[in-house]
Amino acid sequence: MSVRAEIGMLDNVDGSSQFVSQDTKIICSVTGPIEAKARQELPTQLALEIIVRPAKGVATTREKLLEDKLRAVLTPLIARYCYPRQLCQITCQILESGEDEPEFSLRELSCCINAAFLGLVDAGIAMNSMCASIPIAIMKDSNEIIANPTAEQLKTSVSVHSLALEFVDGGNVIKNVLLLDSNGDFNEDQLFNVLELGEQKCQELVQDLRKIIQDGISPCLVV
Amino acid sequence: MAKDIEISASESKFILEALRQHYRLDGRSFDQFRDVKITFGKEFGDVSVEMGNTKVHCRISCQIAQPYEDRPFEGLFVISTEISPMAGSQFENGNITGEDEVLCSRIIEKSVRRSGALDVEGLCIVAGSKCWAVRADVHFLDCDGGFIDASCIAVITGLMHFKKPDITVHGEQIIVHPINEREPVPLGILHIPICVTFSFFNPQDTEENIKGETNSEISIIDATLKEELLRDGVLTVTLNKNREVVQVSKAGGLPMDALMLMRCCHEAYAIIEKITDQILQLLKEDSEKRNKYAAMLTSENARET
Repeated sequence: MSVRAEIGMLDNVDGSSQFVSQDTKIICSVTGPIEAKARQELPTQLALEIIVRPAKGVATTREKLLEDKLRAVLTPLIARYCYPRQLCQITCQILESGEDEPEFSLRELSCCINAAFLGLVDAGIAMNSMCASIPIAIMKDSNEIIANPTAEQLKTSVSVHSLALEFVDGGNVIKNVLLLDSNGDFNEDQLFNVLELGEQKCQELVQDLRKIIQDGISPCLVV
Repeated sequence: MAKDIEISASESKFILEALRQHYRLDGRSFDQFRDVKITFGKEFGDVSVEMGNTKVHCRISCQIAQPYEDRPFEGLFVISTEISPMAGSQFENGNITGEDEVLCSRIIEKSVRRSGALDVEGLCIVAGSKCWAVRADVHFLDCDGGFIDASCIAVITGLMHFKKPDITVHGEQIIVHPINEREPVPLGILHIPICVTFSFFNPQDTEENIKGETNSEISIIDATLKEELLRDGVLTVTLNKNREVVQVSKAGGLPMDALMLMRCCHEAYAIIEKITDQILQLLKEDSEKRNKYAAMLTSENARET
């Protein structure tokens, strides 16, 4: 397994997870459903408060953009109409970014998505489907497509892509593409190749995530 | 409008009655500090501190900046202690005006920055125009009391663990050598301040203590979250191994006499001595682990010392 994850390490929140992939390490906490502030409250559905905090320095527009993308991925996953007028706080703290922070944010984004998904499951929030996300890079010269690139590989890449897919039926069926965020020089064929590789890697990852959840809850199950 | 935690009347009664009978919920004695678990990350200046269920992460970083005009020979040092809802839903994101948040950041600031634990003059590169700006970001992950003590340990351990890239100065021009090119240099740490927090409980009603005749307040070290919510008074002392009192903070609460303060400082000294030794030992082990080829690669001759 190329990733390591742990769920339920924090005590003061409803759900928590730690997700480690190569040099990127994210800890995520989920609290909810709780009472919403008047300005956050949505009359028919669950409001989401998503916070991404950087490892170094204060949160800037870069983190706001990450929050925005994370929101776009998580919103369709959660069964939000189950919790009208309630709030769910999702806080992602980046412990190690594992990439050159001013230039890239795709490793952090993918890990935040995976960590938030695990956190939501741990918090017991009703979900419609599962998701998995991986970062992908296309290398300079060789045009090789690499899933889950290292910080060094990112530096010599021509384009980078973040892919998040939605899964149903025990992680066997892909329902939708939740996010495909690309940066750099690439053509249509390359993008299709990225999607093809990403699909395969996300499918492997979603099985890993299922395993992690299973290992996390099986000691609590009464058989 | 983050909701404060409310503790039920029966639970608070139970905790206080247990304290009167010299018991604590987690089975510790009154003067027992929780075991401190310190772990280092991959990079320099990446420290996690765990004390019971309290988890704090500290990350030190640095960059080149311009020094303040009135202090041209000094580098910059900032500590950021922002609490996120991760530590508990009672904390609001971006709200640094809460009483606990302000008190925590001020005590850390006083203990570490204003006590001169970091040699800021050593951060100067070119007087008046360039210096290192060192930043300590404290991330509170899980709250079970003792945030001040844990974050103080995290910040000072982080500073001791951190290494900044080596530089070469040619007049106004500076070359920064990446850490894989040249051995990075550690920061100058002048002393190791450690905070110890005492919590006081009044076994009788408050009036009894004001009179001060027979006050028999209960004092415990390193309170958990529940004990923190119920306490009547709090005292944070910061000491270092040179037997210096770095700061004493007692913002309101139960009145206490001077002898009590002396006794607290003595008790705290035994604790900080133990923690300081632990930090130094862990740092040594970590540097040996990172530097396992040093003995093999060195061209130095064995010398008699």
